[in-house]
Amino acid sequence: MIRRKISQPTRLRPADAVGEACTAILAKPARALVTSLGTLLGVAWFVTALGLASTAGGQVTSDFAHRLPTHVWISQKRVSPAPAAVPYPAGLQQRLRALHGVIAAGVFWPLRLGRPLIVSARPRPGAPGGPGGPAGTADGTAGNRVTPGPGTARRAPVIAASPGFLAAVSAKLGSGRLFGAWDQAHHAQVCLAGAVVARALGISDLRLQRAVYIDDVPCVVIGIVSHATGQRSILWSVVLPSATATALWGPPDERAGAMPAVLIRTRPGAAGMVARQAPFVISQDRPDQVLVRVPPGPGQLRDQVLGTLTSLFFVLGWVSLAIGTLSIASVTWLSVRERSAEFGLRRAVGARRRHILAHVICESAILGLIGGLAGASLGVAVIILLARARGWVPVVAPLTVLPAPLGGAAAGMLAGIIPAMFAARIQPAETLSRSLAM
Amino acid sequence: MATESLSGRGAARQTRALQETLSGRGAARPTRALQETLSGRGAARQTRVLQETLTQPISRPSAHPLIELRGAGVTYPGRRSPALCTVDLAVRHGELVTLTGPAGSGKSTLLSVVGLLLRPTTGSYLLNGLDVTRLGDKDRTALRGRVIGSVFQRQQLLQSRSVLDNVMLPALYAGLRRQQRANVAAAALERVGMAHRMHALASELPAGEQQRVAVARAIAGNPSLLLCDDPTASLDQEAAAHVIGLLVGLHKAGTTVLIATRDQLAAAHSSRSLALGPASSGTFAEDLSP
Repeated sequence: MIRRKISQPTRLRPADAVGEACTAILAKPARALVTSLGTLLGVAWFVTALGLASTAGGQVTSDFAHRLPTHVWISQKRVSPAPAAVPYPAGLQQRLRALHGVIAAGVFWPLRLGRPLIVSARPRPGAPGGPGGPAGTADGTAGNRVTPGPGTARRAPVIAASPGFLAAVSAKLGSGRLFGAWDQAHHAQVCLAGAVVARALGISDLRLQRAVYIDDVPCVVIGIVSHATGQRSILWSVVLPSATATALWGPPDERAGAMPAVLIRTRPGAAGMVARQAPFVISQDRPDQVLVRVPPGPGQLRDQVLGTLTSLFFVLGWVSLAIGTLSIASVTWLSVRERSAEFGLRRAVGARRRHILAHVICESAILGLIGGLAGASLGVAVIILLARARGWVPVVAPLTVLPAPLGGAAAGMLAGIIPAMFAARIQPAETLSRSLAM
Repeated sequence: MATESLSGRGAARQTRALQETLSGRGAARPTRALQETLSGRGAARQTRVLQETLTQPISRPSAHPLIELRGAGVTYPGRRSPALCTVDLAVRHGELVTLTGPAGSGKSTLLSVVGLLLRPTTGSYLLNGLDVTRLGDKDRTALRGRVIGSVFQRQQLLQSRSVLDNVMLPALYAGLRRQQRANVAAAALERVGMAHRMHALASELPAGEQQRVAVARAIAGNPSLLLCDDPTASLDQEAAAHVIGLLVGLHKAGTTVLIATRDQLAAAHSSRSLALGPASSGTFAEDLSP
């Protein structure tokens, strides 16, 4: 009989091991809570860290999107042998706007007048030309000259531009209106004054129908441009409708440096693609003759920032999980020491070392699982609250949240190994003289 | 001791196997070697005796005493004086033996040795003729779980668990399903008259009832040997009488019972009463039986 009983070693069914562990946890909920607190906090921080990494990453991407280039400059590589019509196909603006990502596009060029350009708020009667002031503008775009007269005179560059250009630079008006298709069609002698020029000329109230003389040609100032992007030089320039400029002074003379260009405003992030497509819109047969310029974007910097952020949060997450694991290990260790009489009793009534090992690890893993579930929920809640407080969009990857409870269970299992080995080595004879706490 | 006698007789392979078994190397290996040894091959007389003995039901009369200690002694590591020294003891099947002695005489240590909770550091222990001194942990645990029932000095109940859960505990490690465990435990509680409290928490019971539950836990696996370490120590007279009556009843039902006690009532009901002298004396005291 003894032989038969020896040949049948005691055994613990896996379901019973889990059941015993669950019963032990439920018997002492406060102890279970303290034990799983480490995992809870560890997993919560892990999920929060990863969630914050993705949320902050999304926010960084969004912030950088506002700094992505939104303007594309296009010009011709070769200079035409003689002044001719604007070297861009008719209906270019409409064709460019048909491209995905293009908001506005327009042609512009600096006027290079043979004679000094005189800009005066009030013309001197019968004074075509006159004794010169200082010749040439500050940027050397023309030999413009301001004739002293009763009104204020200043030197300033003059730009010929299509209405699409004004949309492309997002021109904002301090007062007045922009010129449009009607002004183009009728070659209206109107112009826009940049805010700097207008201030220099003393033009502030357009209700007085202020006019400027450009090379003695009168133009009514219909608007004062107070803000522009992409081509901020218009703030200290006078802008004429391109059709009017062509009618008055002829087509742009490329040899004189009046190279017409196209400015395109795109949606954030679309500049690169538009820059690749636009040459084909302008010249289908010779797109290589088109020069495209896009300012460098912050994409690489964004990727570096994102990479640094993600790796920082990853490290923080893993460190917190490791701390949680150590925490559960220490509490489990204390718990096992406190319950040594119980494990001694179990050994005395037939439990093998491996049964005690399985019991403690099961308990620890279940506590880890509970901590993981609660921690993942807490982590998601923290991410949502933080994101809402900052006005960000919370981004939580399912791959970081869903396996978190299993991660907690794994951490608990890992944390339970050493305490379980200690429990399995308990000698029943040494512990049975103590009172059972459980 | 057993290894020496076996090697002296020159029993070839079987003897070597038994030697390996008794050397306690590994857990699975001793069992396998023991089974080989006990398979009947070989001519060693000791092996034959073991084989015959072990194939008999342990509760039936046998040529061997159920418990046989040969010069068994225990000295805890780091201590000079032994907790138990050189005890020679034999308890036959079906006996109710009480162990008496002053505090510190080694009664609990002796019961721990007999209950396979402690290995003797000197001498040997034969359980029904089988030297279990050097058996591996797995085999000793199997014997502890299936052959021996123990009632400890303190009740040692899991206080936050129900009475039923406590009594089911040994059956948990016998691999029984929950319903089977519950049936076994309920039957044991019935025997000790505690079936009506099976769903109560252990902590809710008075000391006397807790001790009866501890007895129920010890007998739930229907052990051949019941060891009780001062089972009436913390009980009042009435409760103590109840528990002693319970143990006497189990003895009459055929269970071999060994009780370490200072209770004269238990000694009065025993087949034999043995007095254990101070551990320092190094000898087993006299048989006080009439």
